[in-house]
Amino acid sequence: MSAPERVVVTGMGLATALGFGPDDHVPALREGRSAAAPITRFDTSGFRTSTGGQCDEARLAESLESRWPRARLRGLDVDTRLLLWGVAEALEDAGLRASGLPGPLPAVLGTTLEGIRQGERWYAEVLGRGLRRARMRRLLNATSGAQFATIAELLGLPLEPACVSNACATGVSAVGRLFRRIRRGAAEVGLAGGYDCLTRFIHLGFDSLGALTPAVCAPFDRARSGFFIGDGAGVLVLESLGRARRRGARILGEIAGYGESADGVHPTHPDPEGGGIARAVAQCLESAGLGPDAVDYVNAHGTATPANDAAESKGLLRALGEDAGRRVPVSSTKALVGHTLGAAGAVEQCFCILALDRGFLPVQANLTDPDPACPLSFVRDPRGTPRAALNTSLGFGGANGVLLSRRWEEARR
Amino acid sequence: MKAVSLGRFRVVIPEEDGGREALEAALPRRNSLRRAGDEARMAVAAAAMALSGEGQAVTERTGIYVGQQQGSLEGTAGFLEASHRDGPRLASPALFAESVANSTATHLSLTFGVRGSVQTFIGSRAAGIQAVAAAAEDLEEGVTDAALVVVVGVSSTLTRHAYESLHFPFARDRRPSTLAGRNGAAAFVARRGEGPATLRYANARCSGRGRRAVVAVRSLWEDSGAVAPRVLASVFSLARPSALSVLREGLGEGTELDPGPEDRGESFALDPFLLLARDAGRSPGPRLRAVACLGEEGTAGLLVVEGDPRGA
Repeated sequence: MSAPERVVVTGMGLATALGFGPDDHVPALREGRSAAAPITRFDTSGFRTSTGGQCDEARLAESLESRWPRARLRGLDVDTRLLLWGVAEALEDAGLRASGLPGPLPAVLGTTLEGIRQGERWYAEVLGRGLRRARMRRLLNATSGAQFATIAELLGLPLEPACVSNACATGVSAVGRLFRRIRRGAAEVGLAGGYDCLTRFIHLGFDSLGALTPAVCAPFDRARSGFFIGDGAGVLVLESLGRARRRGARILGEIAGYGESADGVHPTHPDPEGGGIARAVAQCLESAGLGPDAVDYVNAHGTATPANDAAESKGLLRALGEDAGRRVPVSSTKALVGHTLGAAGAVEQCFCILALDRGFLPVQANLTDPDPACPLSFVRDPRGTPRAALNTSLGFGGANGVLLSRRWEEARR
Repeated sequence: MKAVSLGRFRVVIPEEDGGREALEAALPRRNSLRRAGDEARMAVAAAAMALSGEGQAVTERTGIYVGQQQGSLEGTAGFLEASHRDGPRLASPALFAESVANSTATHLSLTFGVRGSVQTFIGSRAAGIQAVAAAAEDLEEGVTDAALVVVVGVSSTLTRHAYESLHFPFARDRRPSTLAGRNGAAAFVARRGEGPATLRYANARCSGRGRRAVVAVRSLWEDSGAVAPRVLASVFSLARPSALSVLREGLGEGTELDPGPEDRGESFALDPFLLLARDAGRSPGPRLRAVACLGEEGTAGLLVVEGDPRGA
């Protein structure tokens, strides 16, 4: 049996409420600057909370219109636009063109909401004009399959698509699935990531669960009260090291391990003992062939809900051990960009790759009084050169996913 | 692809199997299922039959792979309607939880105590084929020892209305047409190695909508080795003529395309699996069976199985 392929990241498309691309994100990650702001996309009257993380739609449109005629983009909602931008940017960043690819490009792209903005607009039309006069085409364009077809058509790029939807672990699952495929030698290059956007439906849903904060998003703080929803797209080009070297690609980092598990405990709450996430972390480290001591940064799921942060802390301590678990620097970047749902794991994977590549630690924002139930070591100072970063995601239904990535210079030794 | 055997397909179609009462009787008794929607109830019933029929004990290394075209459209609409009717402050968190696309997988995981990989694939008619492909990948990788694959097809009131009111754009005659739904679920357990039914190929591709999809179909067929002389066709019923023409062009002239009965009802991602089981029922025995699907959203899928998926 041949040795597994090493899997490297050669391109990145990253969009959130903080901006577009690495240069918009790195300063905010270093400073702990949050993009949370009052929601303007829809009316929040009667809601408990009204804060969100909306991307700059005008800038997004401008960037897309520099690539395609406006007429071809007409009718695409913000979710599809974010995905399109992320895919186009990642391919460009990797120096890949459709004409240079060997065949249909594997694309494992996850979402929890697909194109639900279109579904919402349809519903608004039903309320305003009645069912018969509502534009049903909106519903058909709301599927991820239709969104992927749009991407294939606009980029002239046949895809081998798979749309993963594992709740808030979606983004990590998508990257993990493609990682395994390339490592096994079943593919040489592909796209992996996630996308979702802030909508009235999803804001209302999490508002009804009491998971959204009426104050600031303060993961791991004793007074934490939840998160805000943010727009996001995180798309990575993953490639076998052999292929990347052959074409002289710039390597941003290495994906070294992936683990996943299901809690099997509750439809919406995590296992309070952190058993599921601990199993996923252990599986991830095993697949990377590394021990807990090798990890020197954790980008935690850290939703700032009382249940998640305590359970995740327990899980990390169980998996990494009390010693390494209490020592390793941890932060949750949801304080900055919000919970980007199906994009979250992929966006946070982009943050890990940036931290490894550019040599810094994303700061834990809004933490003033750490909760004793979360006895971890939180990042206060961005200075540092992490070599191996864990990225954890915990989703509805107890879906857990964990990725481990390594700094490229370090991994090459 | 290393050999992956597929256990006997267990299919639940309430309209044909004794209705809702029979479905409820087939469900394991679990509190967590009280609020479960139709998708989850049919999936759990089919999965219970598949697991017990195989004598399959669930372990830490059992995975769940769910494929469904619509995430949870009806659940989403239900939540929106209730929140509109009752106001945002009274929006139901329980309804919201059922609207999440992986809620079927969640019910399967909770009901059967699966703690390994739990994956949901959505968004196209090929979602079930993508779930099979993912299950095979994980078996090959050694991540799981057994994979419970569950494919759900639901044609809700909402989807029927949506499609019908469109006079579907692929349809050449553009006449109003009726979408007859056929709701159900199929489940089977996949394992490493050869079996009475062995998976030979499962994949999906997308090159765009309409005639652009020919490229995707052709590449799938070539990639599979084009080993079957006859291919079953699963296409969206309201766009049948144009979709069949795309499949014919993609598969090439030398391949016989069997479109199956026209009046079988629309079951979306479940349809390829129903066609496969039906074909095995008509002519059992070890032979290659291929089913190609093309959804209205533009994704094509191809599934090739050797042997009898009914586990004769």
